[in-house]
Order: sequence, then C-alpha cells, then structure tokens
Amino acid sequence: MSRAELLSPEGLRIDGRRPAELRKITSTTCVLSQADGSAYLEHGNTKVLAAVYGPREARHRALVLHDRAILNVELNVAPFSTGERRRRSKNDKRLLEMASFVKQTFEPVVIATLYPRSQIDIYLQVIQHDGGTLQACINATTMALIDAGIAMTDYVCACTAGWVEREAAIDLNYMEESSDTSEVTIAMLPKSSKITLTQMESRLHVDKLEEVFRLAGEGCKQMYEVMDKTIRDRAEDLARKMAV
Amino acid sequence: MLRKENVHFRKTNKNTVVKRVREVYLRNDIPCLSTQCPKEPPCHEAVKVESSLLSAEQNDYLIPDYSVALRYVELLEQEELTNIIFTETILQRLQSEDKSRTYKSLRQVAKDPRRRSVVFSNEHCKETNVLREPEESIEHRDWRALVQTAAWYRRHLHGSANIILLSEEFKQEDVLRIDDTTGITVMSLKEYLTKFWPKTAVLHELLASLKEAILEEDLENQTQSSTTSKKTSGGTGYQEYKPLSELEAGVKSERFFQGVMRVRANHRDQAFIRGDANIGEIVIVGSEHRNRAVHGDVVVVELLSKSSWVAPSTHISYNPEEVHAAAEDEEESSSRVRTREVKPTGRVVGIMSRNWQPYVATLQEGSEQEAGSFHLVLPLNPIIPKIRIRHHDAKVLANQRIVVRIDSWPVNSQYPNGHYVRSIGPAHDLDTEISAILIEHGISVSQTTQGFSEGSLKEMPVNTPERPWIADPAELSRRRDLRNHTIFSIDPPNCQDIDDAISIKEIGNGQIEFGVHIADVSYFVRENSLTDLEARARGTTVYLSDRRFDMLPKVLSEQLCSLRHHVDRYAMSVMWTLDSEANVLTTWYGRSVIRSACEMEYEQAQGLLNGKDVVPGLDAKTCKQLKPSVVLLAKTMRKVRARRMAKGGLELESSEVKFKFKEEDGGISDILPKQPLEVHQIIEEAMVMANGYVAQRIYQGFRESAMLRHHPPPIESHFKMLLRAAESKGFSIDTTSNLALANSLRECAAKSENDIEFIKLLKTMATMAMSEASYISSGSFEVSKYAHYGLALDFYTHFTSPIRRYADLVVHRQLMSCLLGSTPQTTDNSSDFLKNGLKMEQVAGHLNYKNRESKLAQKDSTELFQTLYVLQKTRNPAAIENGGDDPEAEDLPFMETGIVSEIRENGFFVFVPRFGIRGPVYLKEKSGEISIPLSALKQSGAAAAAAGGNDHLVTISGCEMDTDLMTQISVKVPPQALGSHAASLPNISTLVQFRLFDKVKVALRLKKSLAHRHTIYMTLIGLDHQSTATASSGTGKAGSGRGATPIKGHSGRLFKKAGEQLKQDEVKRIAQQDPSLAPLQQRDLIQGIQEGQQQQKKGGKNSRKQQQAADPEEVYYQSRPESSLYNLIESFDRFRIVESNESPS
Repeated sequence: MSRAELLSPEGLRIDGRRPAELRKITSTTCVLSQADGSAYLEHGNTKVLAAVYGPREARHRALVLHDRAILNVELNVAPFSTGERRRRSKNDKRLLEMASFVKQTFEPVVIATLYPRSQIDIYLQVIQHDGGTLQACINATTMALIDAGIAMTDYVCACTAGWVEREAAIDLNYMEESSDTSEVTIAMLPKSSKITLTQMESRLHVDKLEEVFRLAGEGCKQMYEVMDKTIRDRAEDLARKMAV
Repeated sequence: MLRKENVHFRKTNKNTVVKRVREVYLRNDIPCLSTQCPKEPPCHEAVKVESSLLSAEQNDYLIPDYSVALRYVELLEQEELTNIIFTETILQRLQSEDKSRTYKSLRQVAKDPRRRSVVFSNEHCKETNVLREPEESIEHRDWRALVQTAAWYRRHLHGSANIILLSEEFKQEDVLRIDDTTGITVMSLKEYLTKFWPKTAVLHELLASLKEAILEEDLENQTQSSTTSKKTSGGTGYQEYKPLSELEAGVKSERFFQGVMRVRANHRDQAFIRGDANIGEIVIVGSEHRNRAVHGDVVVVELLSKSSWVAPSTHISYNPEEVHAAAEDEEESSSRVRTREVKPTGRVVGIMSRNWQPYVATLQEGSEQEAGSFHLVLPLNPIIPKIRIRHHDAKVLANQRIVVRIDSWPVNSQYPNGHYVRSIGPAHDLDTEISAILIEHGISVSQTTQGFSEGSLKEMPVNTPERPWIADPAELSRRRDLRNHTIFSIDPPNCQDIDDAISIKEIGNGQIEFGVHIADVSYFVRENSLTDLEARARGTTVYLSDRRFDMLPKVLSEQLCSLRHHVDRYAMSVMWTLDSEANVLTTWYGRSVIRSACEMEYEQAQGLLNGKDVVPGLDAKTCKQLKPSVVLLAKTMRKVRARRMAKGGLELESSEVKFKFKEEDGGISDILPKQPLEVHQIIEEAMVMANGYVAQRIYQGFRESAMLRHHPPPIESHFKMLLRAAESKGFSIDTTSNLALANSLRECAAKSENDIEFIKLLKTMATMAMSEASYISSGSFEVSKYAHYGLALDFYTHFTSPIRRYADLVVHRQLMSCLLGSTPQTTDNSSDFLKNGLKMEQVAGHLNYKNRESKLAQKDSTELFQTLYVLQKTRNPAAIENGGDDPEAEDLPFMETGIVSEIRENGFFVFVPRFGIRGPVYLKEKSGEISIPLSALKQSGAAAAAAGGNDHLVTISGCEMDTDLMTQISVKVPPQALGSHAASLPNISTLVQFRLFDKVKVALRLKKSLAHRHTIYMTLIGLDHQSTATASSGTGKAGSGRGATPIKGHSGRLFKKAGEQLKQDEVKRIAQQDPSLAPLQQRDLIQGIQEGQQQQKKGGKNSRKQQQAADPEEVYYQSRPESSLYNLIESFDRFRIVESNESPS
C-alpha cells in the first residue's frame, strides 16, 4: 500500500486543513461538581478531561513543603481512547513521563507560595486520542486550574508543530504524528511569550527549527484566544447568575 | 469551516475489525484555479497556491472520471489536451488502490504549466463534498462527486465555461438524475476526440490501441480467475515476487539488497545492481534470475549460494538476440570462468518500482504474416526485452519504428505485455531514426518540433526587417557602456548562437584589462514567464550531428541574444584587471552593452595567432585591429592555464568527430576528427576563468542555494583499466590525486612523443575513469564537495552559455541578484526561487538528467551517422544499379588503420581514430571456431595486405587462442591448419599476438539489421606494425586445455560472416574480379561456403530450438557498437561528460 500523502501539492493536509490551521477546539469548564476545578477540552478528536483538587492538605507528611504547595499530576488514558482497545498500566513510562511534563510546566506558573504546606492534585483523563495529547492535557489543566481559582502568573497555552513533508504545520493529528514526523510541543505564557516547556519527538533539521517554533508560538497565541474566551464567557455567566 | 467525521471500518493485521474515525474539514476557500474566475480578486489569489491555471481562451474544461484516468492516462498525457480538472476523488482512489504510477503521471500533467491543468480538491470543498448514501456503490458515489464538481464549476464561473465529463462508464442520463446540469456534457473519449480532435490521428490511434490493451487485460483477468491462480506455469521459470513487507524487512536486515538494475550493454544476459559498500556489485545472470525486471527498475535481490557465483563475462557479444542462447555458452565456459574473480550473484525477488518508459521498437520480422492480433516487437535498445503487443492490423506496422509501452509482465508470460502508442516512420529512414533517438532520450515533442506556444512567442521582443529591435535608451543608461572596447567572439564556422565574446587590452603599468562578455539572456527571459518555463523543461539545446533543437526561441538564440558583430547587444560581463603575470587584481561583474567587432572562426584566430597578418574571410583592417588582442589573449591565457595545470588540472581527450555533408543529397562526404587548435584551449581557459569567478561570487550571495557544478574525484577502482594499459607499455600511473594523475599522463606523453594515438587513447581511458560532473545546489552538499576535480578549481559553475543551457540562465539570475544586493523592489516571488535551496536542488537534478540525456542523444546520433558513412562507403555500386538493396551484392571493402583498444576473451576492439569509430573484431566466432586471415600471418602484414590484395579473404581456421585479459591476445596456427598455404607461403609465422595499442589494419563492415540500428564491426586484415610479435611454431605458449577444434578448409569467412547465401556462380563472379584469387582457391572457396551454409543451418536449428523465433537474418554476428569508446565493465551509468569540451560547439 502506498503511503498516503500528508500534504497535497495543493497545500491541504490529510484532513483538509492548511498547515497553519488548528483543529476545531471546544472547551468548557466546571464540568465536574465534585472537583474544585475542572475542564473539558477537545482538539478535534482528541478529548481530555481535567480535574483539579486543592489546594488541600498534603496526604503524605513527608512531602510537605513549608513555604509552598506541591503539585501532583496523574495522567490516565482510557482504554477506549483509540480504535483498538488497549489497556495501559498505571506505570506506563510514557504516561508517567507526560505527567511529569505537565507538572514541570505548571510548577513555575502556579504561585505556589500562596499555599504553603498544601497539595494541588491534577487528574487528567484522555478520553479520546487523535494526536497532540500533551498539548491538550496542558491546555485542559490551565483551564481547570483557573476554574479552581488557583493563582497563576499567566495562562499556559500549549501547541504542537511539526515538519510535515515539506512544510511546517501545527496541531498534528494522529495520522500525521504516526508517520515518523518530527514534532515539537511548546507551552507558552502568552502575555510574556515566555516558554515553560519544549519537547521534541523524532529528529528535526536545525534549519527548520526556527520555522516550526514560530508556527508553534503562533498556535499558542491562538489557543490563548480560544481559552480566554471560554473562561470569560464562563465568568460572565457566573456573574450574571450572582447578580440575579 | 465545517467539521465532519468520516467513519470507516478496516481489518487489522490481527484480523480484527477496527473502526477508524477520521476528521475532515470542509472548506469554502478551495480555489477554482481558473483565469475566468468572476470573483474580485480571483479566488486563487486569496490563498497561496502554486498551480497552473485553467486558461480563459478555451472554454471547455475536461473532468475525467476514474475509468478514464485509470486506463487512459497516456491519452491524458498527450500535450494536445489542455484544461483538464483532476478531482481529488480520482486521485485519492488511485492512491488507495495503489496505482501510484498513474497517480504520478496525472500529477505531472497538472504540474506542467503548459498543460493548463489543475487539481481540484473537491473532497475538501464544502459545496462539492458528497456523502456516500446507504447501499450506494463507491463508483456511483464518486460519479456523483464528479457531477457535483462539474455543477459547482458551472455555477462558480457563472456558466462561462462548458464542462465536459469524460467517462467510459456513465452516460448523459446519469447526470440528469443528479443535478440541474445545463452546460455539462458527458462524453466518452471517442465521442470527445471525434468532436474536438477529428483531424489529430495520433490521438485516435492511441485511443484505439489503449482500448485493445484494456480488452486484453480484461480477458486475461477473466481467464485468470477461471483457472484460479496457477502460480508458475508455461515454463517461463519466473517466480512470484515476495510481498512488499517481506522485501522491506529483508532489505533492512541486509538479507536482500536493493538497487537500480542495469543491464550490460555489451552483454545482455547480465545485469547488475550496486549493493552496499560491503558487497559491491551484484551480478544477475539469465532471464530467470532477472525475473521480469527491466533495465532501470528498482529491484530487490537475494544472493545465491556462493557456489553458483560467476564472474562477469568478458566476451564481446555476437548477437543482440543471444540473451537466451547465451546461458548454454556460459555453462560451457564456466570451468574457465570460475577460475577468474567471481562476483556476488543474485536473483531478483521483488520490484520496488518500475521504470518503464516508452520504447522505440520494431515488429519482429515475419510477424505481420501471422494470424492473430498478438505480435512481438523488438525494442531498438537491445537491453530491453521483446514486448508482446496487440494490434489489429500488423501489416501497417511492418518495417516501421513504433513507440511501445509496457503495461504488465505476468508471471506466466515469457515477455512483457505492452501496447502500441504510435508509429514514427519507416525503419532506417534518417528522420525516423533521429526521432527514435529523441524519443529514447525523453526529449519532448515541443522541443523537437522547434515549437513554442503562442503565449511564449508573445513575450518575445519583435525583430523583423520592418521593425528591427533597437536597444532601449533607458536600459542603456543602466548598463556599463563597453561599445568602445574592442570585443570579438571566436566560434566554430557558421555558429548562429554566439554566447560569449572577449575583450582584452593593455592599460599601462603592465596591467591588462580582460573581459568575458556573455549574452544577457536573463534580460529577455523573465523568471517564470512561459518561455522560461519551457526552457527549464527543455534544460538544454540538443545538438545532434546534423541538426540542433533549441532551448530558446530563434528570435533570441540566433538574433537578439546572440552576440553578433556590428550591432549593439546586451551582455553580462566579467572584467578583470590583471597584472603582467596574469594575477587577478580586481574583478568587476555587471550588465553591459557591447558591440562585437568581429565574429571570428577558430581557424582564423589560430591564423592570426600564428603570425599571419591576413587570414581568409576577414578583411585586412579587422585583422590588423584584432591581431594584437588575440596575441595578448593567448599570452595571458597560457599563463592562467599553466597555473591551473600546476594545481592539477587535467588535459583530457574525447574522440569527437564532425560530419561534413554533401549539399546535393544530404549524404555524408567525410568524417573529420575534431582538430585541436591552441585557440580552443585559450577560449576554453577564458570561459573556465569566468565560470570559476562567477561561482565564487554567487556562492557568497547564496550560501544555501547557489547553482554550482561539481566534479567529484573518480573512484579508484575505475582506473584499473588505465593502469593495466599503461603497464603493458611500461608506464606507471599515479592516480592518488588529480595533480599526480596529470603529471604521470604528461610524463607518458613526453616519453612516447611519436605515438600520438597511444597518448590519445590513454587520455581517453583516463577520461572514462572520471566521475560525472553535475550541477548541485550549494546547500545540499558540504563545502569540500564543491570542488571540480578535472579543472582543479574549488568553485565552478556554468555561466558562459545561457543561450543553450538553462543552468547558466539560473546562474545569471543569481549573479544579478547578488549584484543588486538587497534592493527590495526586486524581491518578488522570483528571487524566492533563487534562494530556495530545495527547489534549486530539484532544478539541478532535472538539469543533470536533461544534460545527460542530451549528451547520450548526441552520442547516438554520432554513431548513427558513422554507420551511415560506413554504409555509403561499403555499398556496392553494382547493388545500386540493380535497384536498391540487392542482397547478393557483396559490400565493397572499406579498409582503415586502427589501434587495438581493448582485449576481450574472443576478440578485441579496434578504434579507428580517423573516424572516431570503435568496433569489435572477432577472432573466435560464435560457433567456437577460431580463425585468422592469411594476411595477418605474413611477416609484415601491411605490405602483404597491400600487395596480396585478397589474402584477407582467406582465413585459416582451427587455430588456438590464448588471452591475457586486458593486455594481449594471441592466436596460434597449428601447421596442419595451414594446409595448402604452407607450401605457397614459406615465410609465415604461426603465432600472432595482438597487444593493447597495436596498430592493425581492418575492414569496416556493417551488420545490417531491421530491428536494431545497423552496427559497425570489423574484420581483421593484417597487422600494421613494424615489430609484430612473431615466434616460431614450437615456442608459442598458446594452447589452452580445450581440445583442438576440427580442422576445416578455408572458408570464405567474409561471405559467411555476412550470413548471405552465396551461389556458386556468385563465387565465380568474385573470383573473376579478383584474378589473383581464382586459380588456386576457387575450389576451396566454394567448399568453404558450402560448409558455411551447413553450419549456418545447424546454427539456425539450434537457435530455433532454444528460442522460438530467431530472426533468420540475425543468425550471425551482430552487435550493437559498444558505446563510443570504452564500455568498461563498470561503466554503465556513468556517461562521462568531460569539461574539456567547454568551448561552445
């Protein structure tokens, strides 16, 4: 079988997007009433649910820090998230790694010194997987943290970009990811354009790095717009209800 | 944008069914890509697209459906059809059904700007996306998608275009059911062609032959399905290919090897691929092991066990048809062969990609008489197997050269199945043969017809006698005015496209101002204009021996760009200030306007240089004006050249020849070897200097994408031949670097000054060992790889011939862009192209390909004319009187002196420097008979041949032969074989040795063939050497282990060789013509002929047994001339183009 073209000469990607276009993003916050903050986010067919508990008392005394809160991230991928059912063990190294990425991303952004001796738990559940799990997880976490009212210096917006055949493209889907495309995920603070995470899969020629980075940065800014709108809508909605 | 999900089910490797969900976005911004787009701005400008646009002139847009696209690609590829809309629907389906070859051809059509064809992404367009309805077949859904697209186009363009849906399956009614469809017509290809192209017979013929091919394919499918896959049948010995996954895994684990399979031109039974570095070359022997692969295919090879490895044959092949018969020969001689160095041998187990091209072929003789519509055709190029085609009326095709394509090669078929595309003309007609050369080398029709599209001609400036072109004053002011300089050009006589001119003068202080002025083509040909695109596609002007196919329109190449004398011309100039030792002090590059004082010819310039005051063809005043310049130029360039030579520049040779044509009938009056004059070197040096400096300059400006020309150092093993050859003469050659090589060659030349031919051959051998120079984009290679080995320069490019090479045009643009620096107004989309390393790499690759093909075409045409010349020379006037080709008329002898240039196991190659012809001399015939003409045995062969007259007609057979491969071959004549001659010629030697570089006298002969080109071979007449090795019969070291062949009388070898059935009276006639021959040998002659006939019959039978249809006329010797000089065993894919022919031809 011949390999499908990921980018047609007409400049359309396999799902009909152009290289610099994001997938359709849907997001809501406050989806779980049990949690202190929660968010549900879709990047096309990648769907992630995030729940934030805390700040609350640390479960293990030994881990408690006197001057700030600790972050705890747990990531879980549903067995039904891909076409073929596959159960992943809780100690899957990939999942642990991704969880620690999320943790590292948020540690400098969450103003943890406001919550000494406490713990913030972030539970992430990937419900459906179609490429770009890490970026979706980070974006969902941002919204859930905001929903939980935890102080942060800025939003954290993440976006992937990669080199697809002959051009840089953002927000790769599963088809594009799986054919050995080099892929960069960056997480950015949109107001200051500071980057809190970069992560790369596969190899990318150094000449192309700049272009990929630029595009990923633009993607982050776009993500910010979308997320900010959801948050503001939600806030306005709440404000209206309170006024009544 | 609308988001949608496509859901489909797919079976996985584990046989579970999995649901796959794919997201699809439907867009509103898919452009219609028509110049008629009524939107403002047109919708293709709203999005960034690189595509050709549907033209406005023609209102009929074609939309082919899947049935047409799949099976009639070749029709769609025809250049006549334009404005085709390829829908994504069919492209996607082609891809998913693994028809990547078809897919690529369609993409190619869409990419070609001249075809005005586009790809429309209808599946992603919101308005044309169609959902598959429940219970609907895929065909029907796709059809609806096409109709939907057609309707959309109609609406989008406000009905200003007629849409024609091409389909072989659906009819007009099928449209009506779906949509409101005024202006949409459904046509079958036949209806379409009859309506729009009633007069273009080519298209109709192609359609008919494609239809037949399809019919046949369908039939085959039916029979195959009915007999339910009998795997290997018919005794073809072919095997099914292994599945792709296994091949890929095998290649990765180094169990299999992958590479491009090439068939040896001189030994068609053997093919080889280049494996990886460890294993080197892998040989594939025999058609069974080749397993249906054709020359050029990318194949996967499995190694055979070591015991069945063989050494590549070193025979000169006799016959292009021996492919199958040769297997036997191999067995017979294998005991001997094994002792030599064996090579890894393998067999083809799979094919990664096919490289099937259109082939020129001829119907197998006699086939037109046979009933049935299947016929075998013999491709002109003998390394391609016979092809089975279907044609309803084979009589029409008899004796014609036809273009054929291969469609498939099923496992149970001996030969590939193909179909007839079109006919070129009668075989052996000059124009036909030339068209065949052009087709074989992929030179496009538009170039061969010298045509340019109307659009591109409109771009050309006007230059008619009524309205002559004049330089634009505004443009003049922007250019440096060099019209007061003495500028002249030196070219071959009658040169129309003068690329370069030169100026040189002393400016005091011993300083010299030296300028090279090149035609400013980039001023006239704007980047991405139609002319530019056409020129890029053509790549280069193709020069054949008697004609030329231009890259640019005539108005440019012969008039406005050509640097004619006494007129103002725009130029790109490089001006240097040199000191008295020819060191460069300053360099200036830029646009200029010049006025050439004189179009000199090489001979004239050489005359001036030799001190003559007046030369023929030039008036005294011009001579007086130019002479100091020419002398100064020579003086300066000698210094520059000496410096480059000291750095390791090589002086190489190629055996170029020129043809002189008779005016009355176009016949060839003479072949002239290229006369090397010093002026050639001088002009060459000036051009090399300009190229080198420009290369440095553009590399400064374009680090990533400069168009450079590099020449990698040769591979050490390719020098083997040269080293052995030099050794046999007692020289040693150091090949460690270009300087060492140049020095050792020079030393050889100095030591054997009187033997010019030897030096020439030695240099040619060195040339053949070189790698091929090629264009590169600087970004794709390391800096250290830019160097030019042959010229010993670190940077080199092609700058000096923009009229005939597209690469030069690119270099001109890059240079201009460097000079203008960062002026923003020039940075439109065009300079984007110059900066794009990736695109430059693509262009370089394309130009390398075009360049190579054009050189090969040139070589083929030289060979063609050489054979024509031999044909003319050997044609018996008697035969002409009898009305054309009287098969019984004997050819006239055409004798020449040649030099042994390569020794093989059964003979040797002789190079005739006078005509640049190289041909085989067989000592051992195909039957295994070793014979030698009587004349060669005489002590001083030359004298004998001259005096004895016809001794060369008498051969001594039953000799024994011994070869020391590559350096010498010796024939021992047993005394009993001499028979009656022993008495008549007491003074005779019985051991004859032929060593490399020996001079021999040969008769040039022509092996005529219908299916292939005529080929030149030679028969030995005698040695033309003072010190021929002679030895007494007892001391000869000859005598191999093989049993002596039976003694046989002298046979009329000459006659036998031509394979002609001579009657007795014919013999008498010849005997009468040659009285010296008559009394003694007449009986012998007749006997010889009879034996020859018997043998021929035997041979005929044998070959018929092995191979069903041997051509009767090709029973005996036949060989395609080995490509012009040394077809070394290793030297297939490297046709070397040497930089020494840098001067404009």
